[in-house]
Amino acid sequence: MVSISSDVIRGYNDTIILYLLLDGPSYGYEISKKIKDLSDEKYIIKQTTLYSAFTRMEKNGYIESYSVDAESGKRRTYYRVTESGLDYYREKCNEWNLTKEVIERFIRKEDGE
Amino acid sequence: MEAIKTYLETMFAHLPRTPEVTRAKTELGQMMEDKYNELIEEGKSENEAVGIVISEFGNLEEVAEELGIRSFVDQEPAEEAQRVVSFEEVDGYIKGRTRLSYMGAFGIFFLIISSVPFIILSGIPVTAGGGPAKFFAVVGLILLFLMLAGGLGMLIFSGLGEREYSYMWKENCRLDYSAQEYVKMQYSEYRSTHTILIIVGIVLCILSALPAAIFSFLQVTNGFFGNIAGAVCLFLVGAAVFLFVLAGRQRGGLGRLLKVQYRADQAQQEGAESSQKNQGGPEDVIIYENEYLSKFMPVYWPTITCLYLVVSFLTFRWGTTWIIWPVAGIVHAFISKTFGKHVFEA
Repeated sequence: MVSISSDVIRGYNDTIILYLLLDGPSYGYEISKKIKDLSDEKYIIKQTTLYSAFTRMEKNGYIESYSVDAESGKRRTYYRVTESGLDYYREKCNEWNLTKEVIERFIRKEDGE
Repeated sequence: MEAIKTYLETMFAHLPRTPEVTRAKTELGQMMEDKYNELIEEGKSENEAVGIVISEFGNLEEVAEELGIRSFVDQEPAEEAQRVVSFEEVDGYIKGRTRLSYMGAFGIFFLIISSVPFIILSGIPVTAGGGPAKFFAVVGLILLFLMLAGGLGMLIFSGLGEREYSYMWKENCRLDYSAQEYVKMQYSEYRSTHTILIIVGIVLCILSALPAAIFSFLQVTNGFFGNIAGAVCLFLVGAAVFLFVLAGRQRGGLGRLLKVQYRADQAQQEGAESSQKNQGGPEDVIIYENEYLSKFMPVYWPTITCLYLVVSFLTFRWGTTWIIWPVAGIVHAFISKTFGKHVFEA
């Protein structure tokens, strides 16, 4: 069983979260669920990982948080992406495309079956 | 849901109540609650849901940097070479240990009841000739050796299966913060289960003498009935010892994990120069200070099995030799209560 590289994914948690916020604001559990679904359950993000990414990105000004009263009467924290968050996201996309392109050249294709 | 709240409470119990920490706790709690509710809606059982939520919680050390609580979560290692054991490792160990506990307990169970078919089959009264009696005896013996071999195999395998985690006892390790809290929670939760298993085991032990008592009251102790009484007794004692072994091993596993952390804490307090003496090998939760007992008790049940088989085969009185088992059970309880020290009884 191959599993994803935690070293690589760590550098792209922010990118993943920002991507999911592009369509509109969202909250913790919804984001973790979308990550799980979109990755076909190959990547299940830990809650502490998700939360530390939120606080770090908020500190850097990439996202903003605000509270909303949910139907159940509980308050829920929503996050939305900022302008500088969008810039950062585009930058990370370019970085990934370059990284992928370079690494690809060193991966042997095993299709001689 | 209660279990999740408790988990979160204990995780945050030792942290300062700064606004950042409070917010993190609320947020993480909200995420856990959402996830839990959804899992329940999907039809998962409460236990499964709690397990999944906790296993996907992650590691507080990860948020420590953001919260400004690094000094609380990340205790300075006493020595450079200290290895940090994560939640995943601890969880894996506990799950594996449970499987091996069952295997070991079944192994001992089979050892104890191995002679049951032989006792019953050889006790069947045969009137004409010796043919069927011999046939029954042979079948009984074959079953006996099959169960002995199977039981011993399981017992040995259950002892070896833990080797992949042996670094936890051999190397200088400490549990990381979430692992510590998890083990403490598991240990205190296992307590009531442990008590129930022991009580049921004791009741079974007492019941095991019942058939023999009834038959002797009815004065039918001879021949076949004696053997039946012995067989029932063996089976009940086997079940009781199964429960004792299962309970002891499962708690022993959690105790061992607590001990790893206990040792690390001790080493930190006493400083590097005296930490050496704490680096003993693995020990069970019940610790015997007497040197001979500490060597003998781990092989107590296998020894009793050997004794029982040797005596039974030499005397061929299968109807009476089963008495060894209840006696051995009482002696074991006596020794462990009198000489054993429960190290982590909080």
